[in-house]
Amino acid sequence: MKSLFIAGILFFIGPFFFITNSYDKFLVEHNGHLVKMRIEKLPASCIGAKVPYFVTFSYNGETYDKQTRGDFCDKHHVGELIEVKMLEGSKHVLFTNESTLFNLMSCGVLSLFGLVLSITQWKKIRNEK
Amino acid sequence: MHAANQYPLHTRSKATSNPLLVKKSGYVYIYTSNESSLNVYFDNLKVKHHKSALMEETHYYSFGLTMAGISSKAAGALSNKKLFNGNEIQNKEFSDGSGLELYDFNARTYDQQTGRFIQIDPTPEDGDQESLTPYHFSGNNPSTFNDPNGKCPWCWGAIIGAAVEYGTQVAGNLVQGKSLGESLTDVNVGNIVIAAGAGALSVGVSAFVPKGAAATVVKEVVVAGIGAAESAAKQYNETGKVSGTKVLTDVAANIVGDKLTKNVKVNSSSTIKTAEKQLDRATKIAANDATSSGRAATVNKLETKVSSMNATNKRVQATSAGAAGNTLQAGADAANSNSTNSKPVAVPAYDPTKQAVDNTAVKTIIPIRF
Repeated sequence: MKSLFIAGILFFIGPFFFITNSYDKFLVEHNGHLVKMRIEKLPASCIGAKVPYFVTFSYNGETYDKQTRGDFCDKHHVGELIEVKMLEGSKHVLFTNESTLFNLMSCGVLSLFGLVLSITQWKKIRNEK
Repeated sequence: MHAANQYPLHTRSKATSNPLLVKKSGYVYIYTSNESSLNVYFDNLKVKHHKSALMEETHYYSFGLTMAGISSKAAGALSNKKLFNGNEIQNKEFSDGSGLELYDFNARTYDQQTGRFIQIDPTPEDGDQESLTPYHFSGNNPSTFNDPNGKCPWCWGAIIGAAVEYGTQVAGNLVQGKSLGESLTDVNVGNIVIAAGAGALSVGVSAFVPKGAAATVVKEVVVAGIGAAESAAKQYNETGKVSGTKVLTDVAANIVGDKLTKNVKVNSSSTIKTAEKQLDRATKIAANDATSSGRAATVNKLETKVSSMNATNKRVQATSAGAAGNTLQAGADAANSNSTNSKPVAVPAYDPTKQAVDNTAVKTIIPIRF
């Protein structure tokens, strides 16, 4: 129970550290504009649901790393120009049909899960004493 | 016309030759043909089936008590200890042949006569079961539920799923060259929630013990379905679209990874250290006796053992990370790289005349009594 309580606390606090990044992506989606970026680095294959893969884009002398999955690695190649959404001042870029609302909501879901878990476990620990 | 004794009798029976042993259920097809120029009459053709002795047939009540009336045991057969739910029966402990007649459910001991565990549930609050006794079996409803090992199996699934996904993303960020702070915070939270859900479902399904081949197939399909859903959800979350081919590839990679690591024994660091110490000692002994081919052979054997243990652990790490993709990626990177680091390093042959270097990595010496 103690370990579940600690896990609950971590789940409750953790998303507060992630929310800045998620909100930044949200701003890119809503205020950003479409540009054509060049693919600089691309994995040979993106097999495996458990492994994150990164593609590196370049635009105006800046490089941007973006996590990707699925058949992106097979359908694109290094040197190709592809349309992505970006916002000046942000290090994040988004694919044209990518939504960030789920990520933002996920922070709340995780935090809520942690809160409920830690409260229930705390009650049980207190009742044991 | 032929006399009666001109008709030879061909049989394949216990008395004349080895009987045809049939190890599983199915059909036997008998073909008759004549390979001689004479007329052959297939009269009185018989196929006899000699049934082997039934080793054991056991039926259970829902709470695990044996239905004695319709269960059987062959005389002289070895006793089978793995019975209800595949758990070991603890019986015949006493000299008069009697015993406690309890089941070892790994986490707890179960009394099938009362339908209760004899130890308290380690997680009695999980699964809204507070209203029941903490000694109950399968929610007091064994015809609907099952409790294969005596404890709530899926509680940690979500936490472990989320933690593994977070750790993998952080590791990926670090490999990508991001700073530690950035690596810890720049993660895809949506994927963490997806992994948490998939973890909870997978562990819940894993706890289900299938009864019969059909249930095993259903379980495998459900597990594969969870993997497919996880892959599709993550793809959609990251790229806004889903590739069916990639979903299938991910499911196949997961299945292959699971099968590869299922029966592979991971060597603990202490086991490897012990083997390294043995190698170190054997090397020193062989160095002092350069003429002994047996000692040199022992060194070679131990070297193979240590390198095999390390290689096994590396293989398991590569597969359990998911990781057919990782391996392919590493292979592709190595193929694309012109770095000399990727070239194989020649291992020098063992020279027994050279003094062995002390293995300073071994800090703890365990005293051995001779």
